[in-house]
Amino acid sequence: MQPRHWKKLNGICGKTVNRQDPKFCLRDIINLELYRFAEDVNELVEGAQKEASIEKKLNLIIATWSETTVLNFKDYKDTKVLDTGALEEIVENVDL
Amino acid sequence: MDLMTMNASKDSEEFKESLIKWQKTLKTIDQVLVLWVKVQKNWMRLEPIFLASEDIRAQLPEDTKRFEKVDAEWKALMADASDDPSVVAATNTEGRDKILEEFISEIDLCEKALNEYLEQKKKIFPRFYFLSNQALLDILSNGNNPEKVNEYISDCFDGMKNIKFVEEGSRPYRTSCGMFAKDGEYVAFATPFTCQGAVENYLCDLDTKMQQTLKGIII
Repeated sequence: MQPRHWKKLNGICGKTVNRQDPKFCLRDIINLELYRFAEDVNELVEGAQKEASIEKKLNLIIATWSETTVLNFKDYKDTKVLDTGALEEIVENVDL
Repeated sequence: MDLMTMNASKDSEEFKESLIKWQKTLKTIDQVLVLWVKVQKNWMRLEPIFLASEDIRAQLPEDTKRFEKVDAEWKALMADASDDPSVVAATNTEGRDKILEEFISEIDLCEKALNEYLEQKKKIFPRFYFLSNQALLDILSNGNNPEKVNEYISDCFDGMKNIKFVEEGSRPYRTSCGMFAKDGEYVAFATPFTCQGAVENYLCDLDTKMQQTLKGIII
């Protein structure tokens, strides 16, 4: 869960806990009386999980494309040309 | 999970901006690479013609200039791209799609002019239709060297192997005394035949010469 989710949790429970507080402990969670808002809390947690999986996948796509995918060149006469064989794989990986 | 699925998910609100940016980036990669490969293919096809064929350079000076300009810009672009080969940088550089599209249309113009020129030659000597453009270009650039043109005689005339030159004076020899069939049979011309002038014209004359010779033998 990200800070934005904790903020929402506070809203749902009508209380204020600060996840970043070094003194944050289990007692704070228990005080939220989460069982009273089970449905909303469940929804929040599930959403947070899905967001986390989207974020993970998105970061993987960004890393793949911005760091590891490069064009390959080969020499042709006095210049360079694209290595079209290697290019096909790149184009295949473009998954919009 | 692809970007579109992520984008459609109601849980993607937080990453909307980044998702849309990367969708756009990947789309550009896809589009620019398609253009790039097309330019490269067309450039490689015409490069040996417009840069190396003296005949074409002399006959199509405007288009030679046009091609040389594209050639210089294309090589500069390739040098740039190979300096920073990251596919994102190479394809998403501002205006890269535009310049590649421009290359395509300029090369198209060159190719059109070239085909028109070759078409003219083919109309004069229709047996040129039997040849590839590459072979025809080779003939046209060597029109002044009948010995070289002789290598293509068998492609123009079905039963012919080549013609025999009178080996006198300086090379290339221009005067022929007869013709060889593919099976090796030799037929002498009634009178010597000289290859001179434009190649498409003397090949027409050679065609007539063959017919006359055979007619003379049969009748």
